[in-house]
Amino acid sequence: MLLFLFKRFAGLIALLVVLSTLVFFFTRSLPGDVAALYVGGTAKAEEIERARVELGLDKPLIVQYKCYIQKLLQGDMGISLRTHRPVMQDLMEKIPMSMELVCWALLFAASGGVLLGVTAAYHQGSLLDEVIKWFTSAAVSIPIFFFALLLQLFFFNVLGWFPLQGRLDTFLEFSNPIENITGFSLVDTIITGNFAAFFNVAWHMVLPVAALTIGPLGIIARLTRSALLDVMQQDYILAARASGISEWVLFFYYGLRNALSPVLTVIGLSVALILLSTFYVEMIFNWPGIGYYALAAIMSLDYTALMGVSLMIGTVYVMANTLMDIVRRIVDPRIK
Amino acid sequence: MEKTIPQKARQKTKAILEVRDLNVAFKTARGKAKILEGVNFELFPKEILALVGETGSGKSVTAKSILNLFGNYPGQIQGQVWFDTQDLLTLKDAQLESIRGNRISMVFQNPQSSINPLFTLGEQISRLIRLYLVPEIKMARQENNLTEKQAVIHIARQKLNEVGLTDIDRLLKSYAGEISGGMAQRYRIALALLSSPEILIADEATSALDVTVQAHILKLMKALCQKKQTAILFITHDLGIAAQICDRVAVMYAGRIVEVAKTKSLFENPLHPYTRGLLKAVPKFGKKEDLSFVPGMIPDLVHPPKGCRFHTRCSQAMTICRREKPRRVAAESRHDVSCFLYELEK
Amino acid sequence: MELQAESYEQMAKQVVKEHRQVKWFLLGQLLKRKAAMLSLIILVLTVTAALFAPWVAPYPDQGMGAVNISQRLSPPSNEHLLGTDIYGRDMLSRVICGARISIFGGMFIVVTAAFIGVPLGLWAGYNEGKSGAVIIKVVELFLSFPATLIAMAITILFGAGWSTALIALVIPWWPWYTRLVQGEVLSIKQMLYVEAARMLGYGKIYIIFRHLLPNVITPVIVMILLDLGPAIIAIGLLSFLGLGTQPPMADWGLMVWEGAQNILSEWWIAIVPGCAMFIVVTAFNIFGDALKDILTPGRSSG
Repeated sequence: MLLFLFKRFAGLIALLVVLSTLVFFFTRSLPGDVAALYVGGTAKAEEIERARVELGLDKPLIVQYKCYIQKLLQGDMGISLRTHRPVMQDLMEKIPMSMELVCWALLFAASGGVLLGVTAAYHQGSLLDEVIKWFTSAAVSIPIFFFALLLQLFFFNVLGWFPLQGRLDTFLEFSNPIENITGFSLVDTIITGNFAAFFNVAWHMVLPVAALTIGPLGIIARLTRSALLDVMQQDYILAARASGISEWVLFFYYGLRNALSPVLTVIGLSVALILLSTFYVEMIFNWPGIGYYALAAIMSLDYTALMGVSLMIGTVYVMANTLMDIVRRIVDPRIK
Repeated sequence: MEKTIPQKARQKTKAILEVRDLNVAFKTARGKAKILEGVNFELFPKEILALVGETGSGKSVTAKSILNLFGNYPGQIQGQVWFDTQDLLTLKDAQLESIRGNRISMVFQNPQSSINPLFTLGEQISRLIRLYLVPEIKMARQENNLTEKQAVIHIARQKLNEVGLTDIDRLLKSYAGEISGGMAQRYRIALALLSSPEILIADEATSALDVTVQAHILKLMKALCQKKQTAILFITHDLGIAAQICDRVAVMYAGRIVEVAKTKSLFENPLHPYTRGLLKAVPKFGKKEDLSFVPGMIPDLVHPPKGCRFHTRCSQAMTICRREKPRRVAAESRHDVSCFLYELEK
Repeated sequence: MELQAESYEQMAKQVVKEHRQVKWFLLGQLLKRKAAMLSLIILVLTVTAALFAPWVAPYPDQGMGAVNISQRLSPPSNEHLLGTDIYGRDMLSRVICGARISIFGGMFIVVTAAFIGVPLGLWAGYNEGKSGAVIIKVVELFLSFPATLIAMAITILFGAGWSTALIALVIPWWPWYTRLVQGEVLSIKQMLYVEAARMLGYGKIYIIFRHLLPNVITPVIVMILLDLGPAIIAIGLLSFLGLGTQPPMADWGLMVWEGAQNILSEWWIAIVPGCAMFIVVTAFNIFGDALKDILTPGRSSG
């Protein structure tokens, strides 16, 4: 186990090195003059030149790369061309905002998906199974941006139950502003006893979280169902049944336990899907998180910010998969 | 078609298991497959009855029907399976569960895949010991002054020792993937015989093993069952094995039992054309003759042949064989056959 | 030796023949599945409409991008069944023309990916030497990142546009086929008739085409069908961000983006292409699932 952890960790570092190198050369070959982008559209030639020196762009590519890696190791990702602030600082501020959405979505998708999948498998062939099948087919087929728009249209425009977008009502930003302690607004508002803002933020979160949940929910439910049904056909279930184990224990204990490994894998993969979906959901719901930041960086060709975001998403993705691998090794003695 | 068997007639036979007119049909993609059609046989206390037939003849389905092990599988079972004055097919799940593994046990073909890969062998045997051997646990605790957990392990050790397994401490911590097929089958036999059941159903229990291991396991199974007075329903496609260890043999073809007799009587004087064909296909040591075989293949059970299901491959088929189903007749004493060749004689 | 060669050929033929018979037989099964048949009808209708868009669309020129400012933002009416967009273009015509890029684009992505991925997978599965190992390493590298993210990066680098977007999606897509085929080949390789062929001295290429390819074709077809929906969504994801198809061309993802600006007042501009996408993707998924059940029974679907 220790050796495995060490190997995974080494692999993670190697992947990050490859990733950062790729990202570096990749962003350097982007179209457009970076220095000109940095100072803005109407700058004079000498201002651009000064910016070039300031950003280290006058040096050869190899020197730039060395410099970049050195800084990266110190946690310095350079200065954003768009916001003119250190990218690291921007990311640190935005990540908790997105993580709040991502964590809730993952929680709901995983618990709801497993629940739906188990229900469908238990009632295999019944009307309920059929209904769940239709629902999950629709859930995996609906494009995330379209679903987000539908939610807005229906729950804001038609029913008026939830706010259109944003994180906090404007008047609350003045009357009950959120103090930034952990960066997670729900946690911060509870710590400071700012309940007005707490409920307001929670209310604003409902639709974006729902939008992020739907796709992974469908995927997890479908996989859970098929994994369970697959397990229930195995020889060891038949043998256990023949030795007098009750159907209930067979399904909910042996079945679930044996289906756990593939389900965990797909939950791990959902992290990537949800992260990617934040690009769309945060844009549509005007949520000031990492997805919104990334999108703005794409639109304005903010290469330092793009570099930071790609590195971060890559890291989170790889880490989520590693974590799932570790958990799978714990639950499944066959993986050696 | 007889629907119920009069209680008196049943009791006269002294059989502990009586399968009467068992019909099983499965829904398949292509339609309803009539896997079993009127299977009848009885198992007497302490005897070993072999159920032999080709792949697809319905041996395993017969075995699974006895304990109704199909789960949610879409299909129908009709008929009766009498065990100790109850018809197993009419029992509710909870009642069946108290019989499965406790009074009627089963051993399957692939020992390794029959053991749950995610739990240690110790965990799996302990679960069953706690389920079936409550008095024994109590006794072991009193005699040796053990905690419950220790008592369970103690019993597990005894039971695994009984089936000839060694290095039990390591074994109890192992997983299914870490032991050999022979060891796995010994372990499954230990589980099956845990509560000294009245019947053991061995469904191709040795077919997946090496020949040497096979012999050991057969010997072990026979010895243990004699000791515990357990009757065995031994399902196999291997006539040689059937001849070696069984008291009686029932031959199945396409979902029907075509011939039942004492082993000696069957091998010396096979009556049904199918049995004769099968026996000719077994190579004999020292005789240099061409191996013959039964021509053709097992029929499609979605559209089975009318009349006797064997008539399409039978060299002695008559007109009546194509129209009607033969009944089971006693051609000789304790030698029954379902074939018009003998039915018409009578 | 001759006898062996003959029986080996027969064995191989028998396997292939049995596969075929069973398949044709099971295709009849499809007719029994109502949802799958409904999906098939929807797909046939949309694909036909997309193929003959210039003749089917009521305003083909608007479908291609011609503006009609006088009619801008008109709600669904008899004249414009599904309303018009901010440039007054007929939504129905736009959706029909957009189907070309979404559906044919999706088909292009998965078929190209399969054409690249399948041979590499056959090679990597059959040769467990260095070349195979290299292929597998590359595949693993690609698979360790989300496909859409890779595609986004490529479009940013090479400039947005529908052809770039399609190629950008093929690049992270083919490794899935390589991995699928490699896994299949590894198990088929163990089969008696393949080993027999190898021992009888048949060449690599012959064995790959004669024995391996026919056996991986079914799972590949199933995967292509199941990938069509995701591919259509992936194109939409890129277009929605402005990284794919550029205006004034019609593309469902791009149209939803255009409609998103006026979602609260002129809802139909986003809803119509969104629904089109949803329906077509659902149809592809249901049809693919059904075919998977029929063609590769017993395999768990994910």
